[in-house]
Amino acid sequence: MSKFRLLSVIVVVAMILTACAPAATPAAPAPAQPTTPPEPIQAAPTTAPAAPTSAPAQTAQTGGQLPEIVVACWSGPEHDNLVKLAAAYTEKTGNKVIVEEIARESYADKLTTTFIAGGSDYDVAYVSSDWPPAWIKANALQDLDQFINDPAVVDKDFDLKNYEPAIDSFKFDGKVYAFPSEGDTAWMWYRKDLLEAKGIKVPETWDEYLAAAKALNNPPEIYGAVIGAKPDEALWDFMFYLFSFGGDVLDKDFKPIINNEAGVAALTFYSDLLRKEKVVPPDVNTYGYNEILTALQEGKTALGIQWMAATQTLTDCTQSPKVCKDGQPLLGYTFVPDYKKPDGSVVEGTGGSSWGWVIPTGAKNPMAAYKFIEWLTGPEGGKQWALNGGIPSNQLVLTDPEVVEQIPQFKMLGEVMPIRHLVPPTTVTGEMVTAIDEAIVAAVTGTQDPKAALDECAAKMTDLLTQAGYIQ
Amino acid sequence: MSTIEVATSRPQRTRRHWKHQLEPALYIAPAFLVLIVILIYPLGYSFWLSFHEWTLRGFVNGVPWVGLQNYISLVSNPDFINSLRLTFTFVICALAIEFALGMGLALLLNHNLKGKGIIRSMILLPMMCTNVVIGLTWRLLFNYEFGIINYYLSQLNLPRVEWLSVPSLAMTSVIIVDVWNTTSFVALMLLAGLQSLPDEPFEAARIDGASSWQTFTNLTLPLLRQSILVALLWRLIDTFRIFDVVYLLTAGGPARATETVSIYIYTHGFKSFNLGYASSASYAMILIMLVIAGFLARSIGRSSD
Repeated sequence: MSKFRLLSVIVVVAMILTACAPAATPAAPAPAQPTTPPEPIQAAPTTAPAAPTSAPAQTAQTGGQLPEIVVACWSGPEHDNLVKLAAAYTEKTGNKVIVEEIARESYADKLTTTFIAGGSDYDVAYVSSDWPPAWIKANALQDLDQFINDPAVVDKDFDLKNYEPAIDSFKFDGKVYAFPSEGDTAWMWYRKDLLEAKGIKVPETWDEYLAAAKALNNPPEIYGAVIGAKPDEALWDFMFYLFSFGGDVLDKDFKPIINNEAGVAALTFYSDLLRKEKVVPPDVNTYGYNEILTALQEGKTALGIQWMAATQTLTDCTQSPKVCKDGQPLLGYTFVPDYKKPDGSVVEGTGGSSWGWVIPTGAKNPMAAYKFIEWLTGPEGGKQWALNGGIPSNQLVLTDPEVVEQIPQFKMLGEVMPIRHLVPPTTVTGEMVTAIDEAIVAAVTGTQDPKAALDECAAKMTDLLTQAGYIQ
Repeated sequence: MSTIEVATSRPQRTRRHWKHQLEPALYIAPAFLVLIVILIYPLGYSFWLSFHEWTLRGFVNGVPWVGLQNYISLVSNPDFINSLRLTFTFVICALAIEFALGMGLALLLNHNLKGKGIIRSMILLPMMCTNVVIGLTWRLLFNYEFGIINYYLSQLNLPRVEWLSVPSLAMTSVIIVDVWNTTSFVALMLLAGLQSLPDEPFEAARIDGASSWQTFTNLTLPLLRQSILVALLWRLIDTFRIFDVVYLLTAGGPARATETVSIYIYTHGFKSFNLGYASSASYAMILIMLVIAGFLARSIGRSSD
């Protein structure tokens, strides 16, 4: 019987050890050579030489066939667009491109674990501008200067100036780490037919937005508005409220100001849409980009803030037939509302994101990867990207007459750019975003009031920024 | 001659002895090496990490030794304590329901029912699904607007339920999914136990005029003790480390209402990339599981004596 007992104990221990191993066993990244004490990475270019650079560009064989590359992209319109462009690139050059689609929820985690472990899974990845600082600090990205400065590799017509100003979001310590692709924002979407039927004008301020949402709210058939407070995506929806209320994440000295008066007013308005006014679906804390898109497509909401990347989907009657009539879309879009302060003054501001294409240090074929992203973001690929619904950052594309004529939202984007804010790129942005997400969800679910939630969040951010050396 | 034979055979015997000793070791060496690489090394490395500070922003500059600091931070962190509380709530509720339903199913299947084979196959279906499929499917089923559960509730003129978006209900929803998924496993384990029970005590009870309830409580349950403990032990380990279903259904939300220890570790390990801290949380989890599982394993041993 003691044998049975022993066997039981062995089985139990083995099962537990096996069960628990993955939770705490990252692929062990080999620590790189210790350098000087950590310094925060600044988006603005400086002279300090920093981080990465793996092997320099391979000998350019631009005339011949390049090796196959694998490109990582998250699910959504960008992925669908990329698949089309990869096929076009292969057809033009004969160079094979494999596109790997990764779920949005786990995208950043997947890339981070792969990159810092020096993994060679991907040659190119589509990334948000707030992710690279931590990766650069971990020597996980290749700078693109090594290719740009190599005449044997770079295209003869290539000019980095065409990427301005978006390229600034991807310059760290004076080096370029990505070619920008999507420099976007969100629009306020509204049901033209419903507003007309009620004689309500398109909202221009948040007060008007709320009034319209209340007037059109008729659950469960249709809700007045929609928000997306899913734990992983909350900030990417709330940011439009935050910035338009005049709030921000950090001040110029990296001190958290998300809990200032404007921030609290924004989160109060945002959470009240559910808790007090009840004009949004009750389960909005399970909503992210996809769920908001579905709510708009299915005609379940009359108003909403949604990223401009969704424009083609929402205005295409084959993709969104329920919000079309006689072949015309019922959804209209305009700028995110302004905030009218109690003293009557109006605050303008909006959020956005900047996305680009990076080459990780572990890439198997960095030169082939570079040639692909150079084409993808250049005049030819960029134009196709735009005409397929993407938002290029190349000035040659943005000013292309055909593009301008076909895609009116680019003109609107140009108007928004001066008041557009981004989440600040730091080495601890990922952790700060998690803290902000928690505060938003706490306020929306009612477990904390907006002020307390943001105060706690600001305290966490201060700790993080102090540890990372941004705050002394 | 015989002296010479003895003298030469001694080294041969020694060689043969060593060969006998080494041969099995060589056979298992490849498997053992694989085990070291995929299990022992990661476990050892994560244990080492739990005493060091490993952060994404700092690891290139070295991984400093911090002693027990990660463990001290862990036990003083209310979020970790909350995740432990939630994990125990989940484990106790899920296990209790799965055991009650599993026992009922096992008793039912132990009788000569018509279509027993079909029923047995049917109840196995949830077990055959991967957890990712289960999580995604139930997320759709629980969807407030478009989910089929709320659709049928509304058809019955009942109010729609916010299954996953209300903190007070989210854990219940996760428990429902786990019960759906694994009750059949408990039932099968108990059924195997029931079918191995001797007939004689039951016949004697019947002759003595014992009621069904008396037979169940005084005979079936005590005789089934070992199978029950094995099933509970197995499920305890599984439920304690549950991750994928919770992640897909709620990702630990809303407002940390379903943040079990595994989700907590994932958040700190792969969102914040504070691997030292996450490793210490993993080892705390292992320790707790070892204590509980050890207790249960001991009970199994006792019951088999």
